[in-house]
Amino acid sequence: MASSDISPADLEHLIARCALRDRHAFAEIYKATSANVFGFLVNMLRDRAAAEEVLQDAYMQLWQKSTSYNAERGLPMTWIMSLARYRALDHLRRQSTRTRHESNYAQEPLTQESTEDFTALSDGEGDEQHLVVCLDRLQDQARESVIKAYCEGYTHEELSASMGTPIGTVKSWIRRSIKRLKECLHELSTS
Amino acid sequence: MNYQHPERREMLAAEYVMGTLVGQARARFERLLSHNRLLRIEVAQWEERLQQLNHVEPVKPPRRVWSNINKQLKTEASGGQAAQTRVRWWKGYAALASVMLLATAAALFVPRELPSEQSDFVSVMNTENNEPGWIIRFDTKTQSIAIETLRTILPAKDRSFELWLLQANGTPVSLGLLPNEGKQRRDISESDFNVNNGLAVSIEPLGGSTTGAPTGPVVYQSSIFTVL
Repeated sequence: MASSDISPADLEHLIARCALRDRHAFAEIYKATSANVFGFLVNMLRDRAAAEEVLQDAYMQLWQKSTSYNAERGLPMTWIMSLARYRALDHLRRQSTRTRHESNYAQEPLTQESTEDFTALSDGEGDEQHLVVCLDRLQDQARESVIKAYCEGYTHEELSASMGTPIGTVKSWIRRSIKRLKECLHELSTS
Repeated sequence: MNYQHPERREMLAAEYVMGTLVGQARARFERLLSHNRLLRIEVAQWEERLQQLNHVEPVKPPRRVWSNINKQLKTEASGGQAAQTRVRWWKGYAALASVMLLATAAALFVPRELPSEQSDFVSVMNTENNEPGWIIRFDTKTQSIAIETLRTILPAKDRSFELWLLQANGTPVSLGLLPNEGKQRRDISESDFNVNNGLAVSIEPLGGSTTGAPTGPVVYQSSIFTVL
């Protein structure tokens, strides 16, 4: 899967024009990126109506905050996806009670087979594959916690309940994973 | 919470990006983000490190989402028009204020070197500290603009400030690079005087955008006022 058919440079230009209130540029951004963003939101929220609502909020925020995009700090698609992810997290946290649908990743550690699936989805090479390699080096439950937190918005409490593990252990998994992922990504990018 | 300690800052940024920083801690972190550059850099680095997890099968959203966004944009635009109508009546005062500011700035920063400048329109671009940075004067007789730097303003290494004139449809037209200090005069085309949607400054690679459109973040925006 390509993350988007538009090049990062073209997307940067469109965001810069958007910052100057160019609505045509905004429409182009939506056309080029909304399917990727919506796919992620449907996967994260498991509720199409909620995903639509969050998608709308995320693109309105993109329009309003386009001046804050800084090309030196990250790729434009990452910035757009992050805007949408944070809105999705807000949506999940606003719900006082929610019933978790079965997680994509529950009881499914990133074994060789699932790593291959994941790799196929990512459609990347070189640096883009480093995260998959580094995730695969984590302990199974730690990796599951990271993926469920990032991709499905699980909190420490929800991870603890869904995995039947004390909350302190979940917090340790996450913190240790953060350190190990950073070290591993650094090691692979410099080797 | 101590945000000054690098390891603590990094852990909080990672947990923020991952989504496990919740409740008041998340709200406090978001407030700090708006004025802590180091935190913003940490967050951007973690977003980039984990971005591969964003890749899932695309799903085309229904048309109604874009229709709703369009409706919101129109509402926002009509709000803007109403604001513009309100703006018109005080525009004369604003122009007068601009001229006064110009005179004050001239007195404060360039006491002897400022020649008597002919101008029909004027714009003052403020820096991010909200201090007057450049005065830009448009002269229809000579079809030129005069740019005056009121203080030395240095962009980041290998970067330039580029000035853009916003056309009615929002399309920016480059008016060239802004000087870091001193004064510059340059010719512009007659058509550039027919638009009055304001000016903007973006950060571009050294020498300016090579695409004809802004490529970096837009850092300053300003209105243009008619000199009475």
